[in-house]
Amino acid sequence: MARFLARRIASAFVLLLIVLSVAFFFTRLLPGSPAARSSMTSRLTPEQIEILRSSYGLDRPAVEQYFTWLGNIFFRWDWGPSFSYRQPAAQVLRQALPNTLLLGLATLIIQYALGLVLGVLTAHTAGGRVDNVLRGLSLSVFSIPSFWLATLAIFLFHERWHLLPAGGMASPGSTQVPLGERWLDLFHHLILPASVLGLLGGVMIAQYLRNNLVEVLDQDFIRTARSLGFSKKRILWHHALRNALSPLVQLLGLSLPTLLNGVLVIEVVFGWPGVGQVLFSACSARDYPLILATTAYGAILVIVGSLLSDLLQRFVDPRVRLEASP
Amino acid sequence: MASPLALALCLGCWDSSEPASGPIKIPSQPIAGGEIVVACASDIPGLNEIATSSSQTSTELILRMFVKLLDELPDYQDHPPTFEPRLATSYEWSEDHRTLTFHLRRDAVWSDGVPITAEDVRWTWQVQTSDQTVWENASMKEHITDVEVVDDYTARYHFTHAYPGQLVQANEGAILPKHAWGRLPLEQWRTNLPWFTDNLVVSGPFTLDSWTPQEEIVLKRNERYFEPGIPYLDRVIFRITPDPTSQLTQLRTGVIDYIRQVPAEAARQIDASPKTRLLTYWPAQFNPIIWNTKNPLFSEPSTRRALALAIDRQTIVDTLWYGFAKPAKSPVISSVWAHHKEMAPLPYDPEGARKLLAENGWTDSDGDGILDRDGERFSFELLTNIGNRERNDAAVMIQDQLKKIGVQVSPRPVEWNALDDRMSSGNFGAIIMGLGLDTSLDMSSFFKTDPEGKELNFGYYSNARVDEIFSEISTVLDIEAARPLLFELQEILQREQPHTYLWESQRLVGARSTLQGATPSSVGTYDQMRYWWIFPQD
Repeated sequence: MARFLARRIASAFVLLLIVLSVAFFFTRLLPGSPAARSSMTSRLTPEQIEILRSSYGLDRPAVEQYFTWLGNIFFRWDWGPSFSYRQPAAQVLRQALPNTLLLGLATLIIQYALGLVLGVLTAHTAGGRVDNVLRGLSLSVFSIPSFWLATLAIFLFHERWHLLPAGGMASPGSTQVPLGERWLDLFHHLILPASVLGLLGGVMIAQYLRNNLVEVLDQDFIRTARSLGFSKKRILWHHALRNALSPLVQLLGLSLPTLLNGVLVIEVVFGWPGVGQVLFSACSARDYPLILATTAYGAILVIVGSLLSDLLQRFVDPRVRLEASP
Repeated sequence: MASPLALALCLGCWDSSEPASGPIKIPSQPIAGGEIVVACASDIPGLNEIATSSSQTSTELILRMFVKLLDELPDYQDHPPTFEPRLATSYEWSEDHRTLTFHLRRDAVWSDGVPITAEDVRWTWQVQTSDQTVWENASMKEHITDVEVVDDYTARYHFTHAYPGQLVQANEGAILPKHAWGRLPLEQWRTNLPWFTDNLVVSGPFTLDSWTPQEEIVLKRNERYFEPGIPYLDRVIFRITPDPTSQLTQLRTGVIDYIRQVPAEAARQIDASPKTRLLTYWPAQFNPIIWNTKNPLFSEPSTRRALALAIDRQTIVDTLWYGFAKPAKSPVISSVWAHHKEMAPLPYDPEGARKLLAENGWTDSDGDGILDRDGERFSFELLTNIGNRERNDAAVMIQDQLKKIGVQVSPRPVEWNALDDRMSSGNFGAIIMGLGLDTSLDMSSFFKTDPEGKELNFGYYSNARVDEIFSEISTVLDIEAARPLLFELQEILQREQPHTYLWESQRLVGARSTLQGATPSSVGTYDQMRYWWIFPQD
């Protein structure tokens, strides 16, 4: 286990370095510059642009900028000042990241709960009418773009039925209400964005689980269980599901990047004050340090998530030998 | 992010959320108290306009907390705009028009009780022009040599020379608190923006109540503001709502009281509902196709004129703007005093366009339907910025219209920064763009010969008489006296078509019917917010 962990941490470090390096040079290739942002709206003089370029370090060769930036990260965990927010980029992210993590976590819970229920139900009725209808519906939902589903959800649950708020993380001006009410308010605001994303992820998990379950249910040990007289329900929940769940844990690691991407889009539609909004404005402003810090935090999240899912898999399925993993 | 599909859903199901109700009874007098929610497309970086890159939102929001010496009024229809006193009660010019003296209110104090004095005015000018703060409007102060403190309540601006726009330039930027913000060394201004929020001291009608990044900025009444009984509202909540469809939905359901941009296709419905109101004004913006005159296709004025004749602006306006725009003929829009009303607009005349192009040697020699000359086909890319529906759709309509005279156009929406980059470097054929022209009507940056492309003359237009006109205008102290020159300029621009003006469009603002006193104008969509008020709805 220790060897596995050491190897994975080392490879994660290398992977992060590659992601950071690629991201650094790609942001420099983007047209436009933070110092001369929008010649149509800015009245900066050429002399002022030079002062800004110099203060941002953009007047130095890209390779020199790269090593300075990398050194600051690895030795001081300093991501540099955000050009647009005029404060450390890490500080801007620290304000937004917990909100994104909260939305991501709620989404994960919903999508796995939904996936489990739907997956078991469709596997249980495999080939039947319920299975066909549910699979058809799942496919339809899965083919809808998230922003469109979000708009539809806002229309139905906010505008038509007045059940849920349309956006934000709290009701306007609610910072002065008691803490208990604020938590309830937060939960109220979380339902719609988390459900939209959870629904999209959930139908995918359901399909995956169904196929696994159908396969497992056809195996010898299940036939043995049947011949021993175990009930259909017991076989499904106690014998088949445990075996079918193992690949789902692996799927958790793989689905993290998709989840993160989905969260970033949904945040803009629902006005959720998370990393998505920060990244959106950072890209528009060519705020290099903030773009890079956001990218790195996202990469770290995915790498750590993937490592955790590997470890979790070890516990779910003891047959998995972590030492053998690449 | 808002897709046309999403907007269509939003509009298509409009009636379902609007129960029938009669007209709302509006009280005859303003009611003090209450709060409103205003939608903002994005968060702002900070509360110090000098230490940050400004956006329209941040500038407007900051001006609710900090006041200028004077307020510009949107009364520019028949004459240049006038100014009303704000922090200054009056001003006077020296005989040579090189010094401008402001007399300040004696009852104005900062929110911590410290009087606002001429020292603040002088210090504000110093930080505005400092190399360390790199304020993006610093160039507006380049002809001011000093701001002298005559006494506590008298500040005198000294100019290098007399020129039009002196008052506008002296008045640019809100006055800042020297005693509070002067404590942070200037070299830290651009790296420590949160410091100004932590040490906030304001002069305006509102001050900061709370700020949740990316979510909302809450302003509350500044109890020490110098106008008694003002503002009427207790609180204004600026709610960050990036998605325009979501803004519209929340306006209709009453979560949001004010949105600054209603899509044209939704405007009639907003206006028709008893629960919402549509407020409109003509922003100081013109929408041209900018022709790159360095490109051989567009180097001849008669060719550019031919293209303009072949564009049916009336059809474009009728199709895209739902009655909230009109065809344009000049960068000076028709609601501004200097607009040349007598100048007839170019007609839609495809036949005339064909003739002009033929005179310039453009013929379809190979019969493929596209004009050519010396082996070169008349084919170009028409750039627009991604996300602007009207410009993108207009590009497609222009493609169709110019095809009829044998000109091949490829519409190409481009990301904003990439578009800006191509414009600044001259790497384009033609671009549909929106450009702002403030009430000083200084168009020199758009049309004065600028071979290095440092200003806003993106199409590299050059005309000796136009340059002369700008020189002549710069010596006229009263811009109103320059009206004949401004008319002549508009005639030359119409004849030579460095830009082809497409439309003048109204800015469409949405408000709940319970919100009164809002008067958005080209001065600002939050202008006069201190006089806004709201009444409870039955």
